[in-house]
Amino acid sequence: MTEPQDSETATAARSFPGLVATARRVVPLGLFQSMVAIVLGIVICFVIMLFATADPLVAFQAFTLGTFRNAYSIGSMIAIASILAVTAFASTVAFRAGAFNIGTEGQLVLGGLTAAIIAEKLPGPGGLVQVIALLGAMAAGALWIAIPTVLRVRYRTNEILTTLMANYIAADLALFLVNQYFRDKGSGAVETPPLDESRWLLQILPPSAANIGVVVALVLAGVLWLWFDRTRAGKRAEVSGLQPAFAEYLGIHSVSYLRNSMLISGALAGLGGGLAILGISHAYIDGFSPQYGFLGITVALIGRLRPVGVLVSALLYASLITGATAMQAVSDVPYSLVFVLQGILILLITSQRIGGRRTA
Amino acid sequence: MSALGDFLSLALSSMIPILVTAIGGMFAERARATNIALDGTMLISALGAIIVGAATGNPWLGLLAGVISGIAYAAILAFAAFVLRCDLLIAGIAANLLATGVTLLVVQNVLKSTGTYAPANVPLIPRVSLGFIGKIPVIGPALSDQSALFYVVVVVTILGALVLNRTRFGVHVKAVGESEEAAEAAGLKPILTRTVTLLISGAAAGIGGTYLSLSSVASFNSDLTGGLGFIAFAAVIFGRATPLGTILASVLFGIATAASIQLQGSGVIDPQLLHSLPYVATVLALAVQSIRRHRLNRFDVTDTSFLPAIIPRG
Repeated sequence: MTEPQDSETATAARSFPGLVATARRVVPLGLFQSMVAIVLGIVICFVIMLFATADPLVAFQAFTLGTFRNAYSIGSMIAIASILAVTAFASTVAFRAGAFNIGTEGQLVLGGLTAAIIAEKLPGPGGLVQVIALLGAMAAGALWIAIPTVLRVRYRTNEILTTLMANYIAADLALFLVNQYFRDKGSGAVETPPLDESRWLLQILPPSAANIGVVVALVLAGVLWLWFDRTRAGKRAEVSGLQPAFAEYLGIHSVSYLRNSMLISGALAGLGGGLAILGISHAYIDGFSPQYGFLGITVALIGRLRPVGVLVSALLYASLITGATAMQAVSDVPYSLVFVLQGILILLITSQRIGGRRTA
Repeated sequence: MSALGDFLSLALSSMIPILVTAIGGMFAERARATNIALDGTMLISALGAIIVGAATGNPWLGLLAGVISGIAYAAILAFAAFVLRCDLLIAGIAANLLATGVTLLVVQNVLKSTGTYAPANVPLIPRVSLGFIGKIPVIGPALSDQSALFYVVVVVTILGALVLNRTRFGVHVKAVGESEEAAEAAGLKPILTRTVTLLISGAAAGIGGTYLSLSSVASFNSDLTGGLGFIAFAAVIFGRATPLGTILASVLFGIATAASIQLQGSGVIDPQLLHSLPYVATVLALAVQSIRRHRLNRFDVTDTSFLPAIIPRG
């Protein structure tokens, strides 16, 4: 039955109290399972449509193929996919080290706000400011996960709860900062002034939102692949995540890998926020993120914590998101079907009963 | 002294949904079937309660519907964990995300309302005025005019404490949580016990959810819980899943929530920052608890460290 995977192993707790990371909770499963989960998930969505609308076929067609009806929505899909990929990388890095960073949403919001402020206030050539803004976003994301990280690494505070609470705090903090200091006085909504066009990430398919953020995502995928599979540090981080006690016996300081992975995870989530602000919304707007952070968790799991898999599943999920927008326009099935699908997908993907190999 | 009474009244009413949900979560936690989906369960049952309450015009049927939908949602979680064999924590998070999606879908598609579903003329759970007790300074204003659910919650809490500590079932729950193998050897069915505790936590979260949608204003949107379920879960953890600890932790978080609401009106500190006070309090509580445990366990070399740390030793 359930292995004691979420509690410390006896040996670990005995030999190195407080010095050993706990074992990874998520086992990346086979490609087959990802496929089964996606197909089942989409079938369940279709069943929901049968009940929700008089004309389910129209809705279903828009949901699955709606993205590809014109270049503009393909562009939106690419823009969303690049952000999803980056937030999914954030989750991946943490998962691989044995931590569950569920606070990517909060890190993303604060990262986005930081990027918006830097891009607005800092004078200078556009490209340079963009780079600084994105770096600032990464710093903000890493800073926001710093407290949960310290608590987790030093005192084993459950990082799921602390990072999750940090989401709510981040939302309040962002609202406070924008309202108090950075709000666009001329606008009724909670938002910062629109950014100058020199601050926008270069668009690759104008007029759509697709931008060079996709290059950032691709480069990141390459870097992460190298890190995970081709470097000693990557393998050590993985061992620390899978079997912290074993890692300690190999002379690997598992805790420092855990700490670094969590900080990198936060930084990547912040970067995702920066890309969303500079690339899509071009100002910090309250609610700019349609749960990119949480969606990133799903995407990371569908992509089986592999860089290439994450890229593919980000494209797939982004096409469903854009398709859902189209679906909402042509039928009365609301956009929120995406969130239903997300929950179902996580359940199906982490199930060890469906198509997965049994872990003894 | 009336200000103090009002504050206590606010603290009590903020505490109700946290306390009842936490008491249910305590059972699940003790059986080591961590239910992190309390928040989503509250959301689902809040919606179930308000729909049935609006349709029948009877708030108590609404409460029944809330409890039933809470149990049903917990059953889905149990299905995912024990039949599909998902990791319970991840399944719980998925269930929370699913709850947001499902409630949005129902509100938009079935109830045809854009964001907030606020049916007119929904009867609320009645408030109980205590007559002469209301005249007693401080305690009077605190206790009178509380929702009738307050008394339901008090009863549920006492029952929960008794069942956990004074009945055979409670011993079974603890046994399953502390050593699955031993419990199985003694003829218990760990999965069955865990499923039952999950259903109990669902029912309790159902009462909490009903309180949110049917006690003061009858309206529903998918942000209704605002993380209250997670705060309740944190109360379980902070209270080390003991009845007394859980109650005290819920009181603490209730006071934090009330303080945040009270100070928001005063305008001394920005309301938005104060809004995050319960969450900050939760993180602080978790931090304090794990630091304390870390201190205690520094020199601990016994095998009992195998137990999940929140189960009290001895």
